[in-house]
Formats: sequence, structure tokens, C-alpha cells
Amino acid sequence: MAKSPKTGGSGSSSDNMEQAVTLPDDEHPDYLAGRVSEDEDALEADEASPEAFDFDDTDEFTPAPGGPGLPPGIPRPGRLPRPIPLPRPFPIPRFCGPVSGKYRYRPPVFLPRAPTPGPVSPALPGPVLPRPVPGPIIPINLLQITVRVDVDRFFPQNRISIEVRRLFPRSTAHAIAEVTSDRCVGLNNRYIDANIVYRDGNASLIPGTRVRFHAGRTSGFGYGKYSLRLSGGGISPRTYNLGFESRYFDPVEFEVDRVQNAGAIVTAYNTADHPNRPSNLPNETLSLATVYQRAGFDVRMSPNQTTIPTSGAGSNGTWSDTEMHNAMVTYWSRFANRPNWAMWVLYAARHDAGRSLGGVMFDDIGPNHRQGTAIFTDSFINDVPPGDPDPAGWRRRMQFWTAIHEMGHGFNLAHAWQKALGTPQAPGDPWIPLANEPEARSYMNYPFRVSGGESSFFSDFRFRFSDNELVFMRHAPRRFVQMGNSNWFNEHGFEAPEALDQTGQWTLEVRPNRNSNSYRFLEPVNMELKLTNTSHQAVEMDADMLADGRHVTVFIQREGGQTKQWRPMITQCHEPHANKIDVGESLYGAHVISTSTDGWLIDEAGFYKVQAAIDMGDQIVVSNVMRLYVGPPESQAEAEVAPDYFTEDVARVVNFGGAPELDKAEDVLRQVTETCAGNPAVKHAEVALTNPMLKDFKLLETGGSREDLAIKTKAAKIGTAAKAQTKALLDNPDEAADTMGHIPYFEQLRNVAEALEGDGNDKAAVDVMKKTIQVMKDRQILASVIDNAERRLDRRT
Amino acid sequence: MTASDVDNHGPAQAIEFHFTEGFREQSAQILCDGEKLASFTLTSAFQTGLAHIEILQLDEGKEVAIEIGDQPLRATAVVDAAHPFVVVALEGDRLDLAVLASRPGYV
Repeated sequence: MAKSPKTGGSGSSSDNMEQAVTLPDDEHPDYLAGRVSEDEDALEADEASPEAFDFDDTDEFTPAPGGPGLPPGIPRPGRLPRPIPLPRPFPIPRFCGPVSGKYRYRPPVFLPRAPTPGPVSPALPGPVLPRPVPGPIIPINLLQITVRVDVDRFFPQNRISIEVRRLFPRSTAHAIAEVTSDRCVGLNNRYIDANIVYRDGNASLIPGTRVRFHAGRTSGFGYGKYSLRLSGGGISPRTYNLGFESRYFDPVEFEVDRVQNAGAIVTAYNTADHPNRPSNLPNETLSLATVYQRAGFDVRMSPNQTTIPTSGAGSNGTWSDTEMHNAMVTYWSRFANRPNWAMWVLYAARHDAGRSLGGVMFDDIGPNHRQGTAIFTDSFINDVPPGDPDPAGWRRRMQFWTAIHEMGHGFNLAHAWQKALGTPQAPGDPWIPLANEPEARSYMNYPFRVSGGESSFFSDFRFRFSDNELVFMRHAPRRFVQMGNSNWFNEHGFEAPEALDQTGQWTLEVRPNRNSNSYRFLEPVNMELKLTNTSHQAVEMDADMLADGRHVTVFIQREGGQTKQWRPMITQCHEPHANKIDVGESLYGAHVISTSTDGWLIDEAGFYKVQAAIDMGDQIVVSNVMRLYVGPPESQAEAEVAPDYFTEDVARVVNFGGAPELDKAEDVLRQVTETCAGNPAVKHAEVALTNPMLKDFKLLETGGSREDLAIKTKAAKIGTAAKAQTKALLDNPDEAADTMGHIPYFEQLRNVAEALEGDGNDKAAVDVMKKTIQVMKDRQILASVIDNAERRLDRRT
Repeated sequence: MTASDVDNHGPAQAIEFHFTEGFREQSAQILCDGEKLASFTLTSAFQTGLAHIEILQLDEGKEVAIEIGDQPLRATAVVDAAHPFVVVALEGDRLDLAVLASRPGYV
């Protein structure tokens, strides 16, 4: 039987604590050490479910989900004869050890056929040929399946969750099933049936409605084989062989750092330390690690524990969220702006907010939330209620409880009374709607908020999370839970609607500004942002806020996939200038959102959701959620060019309107123009390829060393470029304006006209301007924009 | 700030006004004898459930009014040194006000 580490794995412990031990698992009343069935139970199970002994699901013949089934004519293995039941004079207890934990799909491994030994020939002199090296040819595992079984060990939730990741074409799915029966039919021979109740992502990857997990013996007494079967819903049952990976559901690392003036910190607590506790609560020491191990995580305490000098705090000695975030970046050895199963726990004296703030998960700043939490030792959690029988024990318990509570926020857990907040209409997938648990005896409830107050809470608190919280931590789609992944309060069934609501002063709209939200494969997606003053008074603000790329954040989620943040490839710093925006007046901006600083965000067929937010300084204004569709390749050529096209370099060329130094990317765009006729991506490519020719273009050339660096100028070819661009932009102006977006489209036409004018070709420039104005009128764009264009034209004619 | 110099009230006490859950960009003010002592804008933080703490020196026995919004929701409390924590939450269109002896905490 597995035992917990004696100190729960925590490297730190209370300065005031005597060394105590964590109760061995199998001695703990909250630990379920497997399942025992009496003979009759098993018999009943056998009779109730004839599938109990279906051994004819062989993995080798299992079709991949969504893939083809067995071709006709291939003989299937016959049904094995069932054992003849023997008379059972005595009821034999059947014991099945615990099976909770994480499992992974083990795809079948096909070994190469061994060469047939031939006749031995006499050794002849001659060259020695390399001998073939025998060994398995491991197929690339295109299907990754992770199964989390949760039926025993600590606080079992009777769930089986399944996570499927298909690598090509890339897709993910997640399902959670509720256990309906759990039968031990022999020594370590256990069948667990469950019904799927929750889905996320591509449902076709986890077909069926029912799940059966089987753990059985091979040789010896222990478990040796595991499988998962999907059935129901009219599908042919599919069985997957699994391998046991861990008794825990996910790994996580905690690093505890302490500010110099935080005093004695409590990272472990003896449950008998304070007299107000459940009478049957085991007397043991819990550490930060133990608590989260029992919640299902394989906790590692980082050995990198730092004492942060007080000089690092603000001038007043208290800490703001921003200062803590900066400290986290500086002192946390594992800090990275990316999803990570790791959390930084800081013990500090006091927050700027004062003594009333006992702790905070401060990390809702920046792109990766929930990585850092803080506990404030010089706060109300040190204020013992008058008359408490054990003030020191009270303080230790409160500090320990606060630490676990704040870390729970890091796992995206809300307060017990806030679970029903919000609605499942956030960008991203909602979690199962939850009911509030205002009386829950959970780490995530406030002890002083329940009926009867803190005394009542701790008299019945068993140092655990609620069942709903455990289900979330163990089985929710991992991006909801993993630190640095989904944002705090998002995708937890309570997308803080208040946080996203408009203030009423501004409305932000994200729109394609064309008739259809459908895009062709390869076509860059251009989004227009429209910010409207919906207050009751004119406001002065920077008219470039939407365009400069510094104030706008866009989130893009491929349905069933992760939400990704768009970061503009181009940001502009400009002199601030305030423009008067009248009531009802709007500002506009446009961005190619397919491409971000690290490549393409929209690079495959499917549905996507897009939502934007703009930082107005004193408020964040959030847009509508727009759904768009990207079609599959419509030709072999489109499919073939895709791997070369969806690269960072091509993204840069498209975004920057050309980049001659990225010649390979330009070659790819030329390939698009030559082989993908009719695809709107051709227009983007043509503009990007010819745009640098509208002016003398500077290139930095290198001769192999820094000394050889030289700026060379590539002479403009304005006539050639203008001809190509007017063809791309004006031959079918509606198509070009639709795919490029009004703002970039008309800006580009203006660039062409100005280049022609600068080249002395006024006649051609005026011609482009006239055609531009006609397109503006045909597309009924803002009268003020047309007026401006006509004034520019008048000055030239 | 001392709310009043009326003689028949006790010495000034530090009173903490805790504005907690339910607020979103509402203006708020604390008044005593018609005098505005403090004004601020409230937005509740989701994690802690706390919007703002205002600490004022007020005379024992004085009545203070808390007004929220343009067409103000209003609640009053009497300064009581034994209950120096005034907790204000917005529940729909109603102000919930509690006067506490011990410091409320937020985590």
C-alpha cells in the first residue's frame, strides 16, 4: 500500500511546530483503499450485466476514433468461452486494490517481421555488409489519450475523465463520466462503468455515451493490465489499452519564498493544534504538499526557497499586486510566461490594502494568470478572537488555511459562495454550472461567513476541499486548472460578467466589415474594431488607440482549443494627441489577427471565436464575441503550400506589406499567386510582394562579419508595382476590400496614388484616386472619409 | 477628518468603512451632518470581494450616511467605538450594511 511521505513533502515547516507525521494513507479515515465485494455481490453484478466478462474487445482491432473500421472480410477473433461456474461453498471476499490515478493510452506496437533464417552458407571472403538491426518500429502516436480514474484513495469523486489529443489534424477533446457501477469481480479484477456527462472540444474524438474502465491481473497478484472502453450512442464499442502512469492526476511544483519581515511562516499544521476541531479528525501534520496531494496532485516542493530582502518591498513596507508580480518574476526560479504546473507562494507581512487583506492570488496581471499567490502574516489572520482557548494554535491554523486558500485560487477555484456567478457565454468553454456552497466546510469558504461563524466552521472542518472543487481540480479540462493557462475567473462556469460588462460609456465592436464571417483557407483574417462613445458627453481621447497596437488585446480561440492572445507584430509609439469624440461618434482600427508575434493563430480550418478588449486607462472595454469560419483547402495546391505558408516569416511579410530580405517567404507568396488563383490570399500576396517596389527600399546586407554590414538600396519600380497593385486592388474591388478590410484597403490605394504622384505620374495618380472614391461610394463608407478623399483629389485636378 | 465639533458627542474614533461585494463603477460618498467626508468610485475585486476601505476619524455617537450612485442608495450608521467596522455591500438595488466589532478579513 502506498504511503504518503512522512512530512508531506514540504521542505518548510512551522517555526513553532513540533515535528509530527502525516498519517499513513491506509490508516486515514478519508482514504478508500480500493474495493471489496462479497461473492454474492459479484454474482449479482455478473447477472445484472452480461457485458461484465466481455473479453472480445482486442486493442489490435480497435479502430481509431473517427477513422475507418475493419475492412470486411477480415476474420475477427472469436468469443472466448466463458469459464464454467464452479460451485461456491463459501462466500469468498474479493479484494480490488485502489485504481485511482492517471493512465495513458498505449497504442499497439508493431514489430517488424523477423527475417526467415535461410540455409547457412559457407563463409566467403568479401565486404562485410551492415546487418539489419532488429527492433520495434514504433509508429508515431497520433492519438494521445489520458484517463483519470477517481474512485478511491483520498476523497473519491466517482468520476472518470478522458482527455484526447489528436496530433494530426490537430484536435482535442475532453469528457467526464460519472460512475454508475464499480464492481470487484475477483482479486484485483475491477470493472467501473460510467456515463459521460460533460464534453469539451471535438466530441467525435470521444464517441459514445458510456465508459468502462477495467483493471485486471496478468501474472501475480497486482494489477497488470488496464483498458478503457467507449460504447453507447450507437457506436461500435472501442477499447484502448492503458498504462498506469501515476496515482496522482497531475504534477505540480510549489515554491515558497518569504519576505524578510514576514516573521515565522506556517507551511505545515498539526490538525490537533487547536481544540476546536471535529472530534474524529485524525491527529496528523498536514503540509502544503499533503493537502494538494490529497486533492490529487503529485506535489513537488521546490528546493529553491528564497528570503526576499525587505528593501524589495515598496517604500512603505507593504506590497502592491504589481510589486508582488515583479518580485515573482525576479525571485521565482520557475517563472515563465506560459502555462506551467507550478506556483509561487510568497509569505509577506502586509499588503497595501491594509490589515484586512490576509492573502491574495495577485497574479491576474499579464498574459499568464494564476502563477503567484501571497499570504500576509501581519494581517487579520493574526488577530485572534477574544477568548479563544489557544491563540497560538488559532494563528497557525489561520495562516495555514489562508495559504491553502490562496493556492486554491491559483488552481482557478472561486470562493464557495461565488460559484454560481456568471454565465456560460464567455469566450472559451464553460465549466459545469455550479451552485453556491455558502455553508461548505472547504478551504475555499470563509470560516467567518458561515452560519455560526468561524467557531462553527472549524468545529466541522476536515481540512479538505469540497467535492465540487475536487471534481474541478481533478477532471476539468486542464487548461482551466493549470497555472498560467486560462485566465483567472475565466472558463470556470463563472466568467465574471461584471468584469466584462460594458461600463456604458463605450461600446467596442469587433467585426469583419464584410457580409460573411467565412474565410478561405490561407486567407489572412482582418478584423475591424469600432469604438463608440455611448456616454452622454463628448470625450477627448487618442484617436490612434485602436490602430497603434498598444492598447488593444484580442483573444482568439479555435473551438475546442486553447484561447490564444493575439499580439500585434507592429506597435506604434506616437506623440499622444487628444481628439474630441462626440456622443455617438466612433473610432476605427483594423488588424490582421491571423498572425501574432509568434506566428499564425488562425492556420487551420474550423470555427473560431474572437473577442477584443481595449485598455482605456481607467477602464477596460470588452467587445462582443465574434465567431468566424475558416474553410478547408479547396485545392491540392492550397494544401501543399500550407506548411510553408503558415510560418512566422510569411506572417511577417504579409503583416509588414513586404519584406524583401525574407526571400524564402516571398517565394512562398509567389507560389500562392501562381497556384491558388481565386483565393483571396492571392491579393494579400500580390500587395505584399510589390509594396516594397513603391519606393527605394533599404536593405541591410551582410558580408559575413559585422564589419561587412552595409545598407544597400533597392531601386523603386513604381510603374511595375503600381500596375500590379491596381490590378490586385481595383480589378475586383469588392473582393479586395472584403479580404483586406476597408481601412487597410483604402490606405493601400492611397499609398499607390502617392507613389505615382511622387514619381511624376500625376495622371495615373489621379486615375487611382478617382477609382478609389468610386469604390468608397459603392461600398457606402463614411461620408467624412469620402469628403476627405474628394478634397485630396480636388487639390490635384 | 473630524466629522463634527458638536459638543454632545464623544471623542473621535477611527472607523473603517469596508465596501465589499456587488459594486461596479459606482460613485460613493460618506457624509456626516450634510458634509461630504469622502468620495470615491467602487468596483469589487472578484477574488477578495473587496472594493474599498475608507478609514475616517469620527465622533462617537454621530450618524454617518453612505450614498451610492447618482440617484443614491442610502444607508446610515451611528459611530460606535465598540463596533468600528462598517461593512457595506450592494445586493441588487439594496445596500446591506453591517456594523462589526471585529475586523472583517478578505483572502
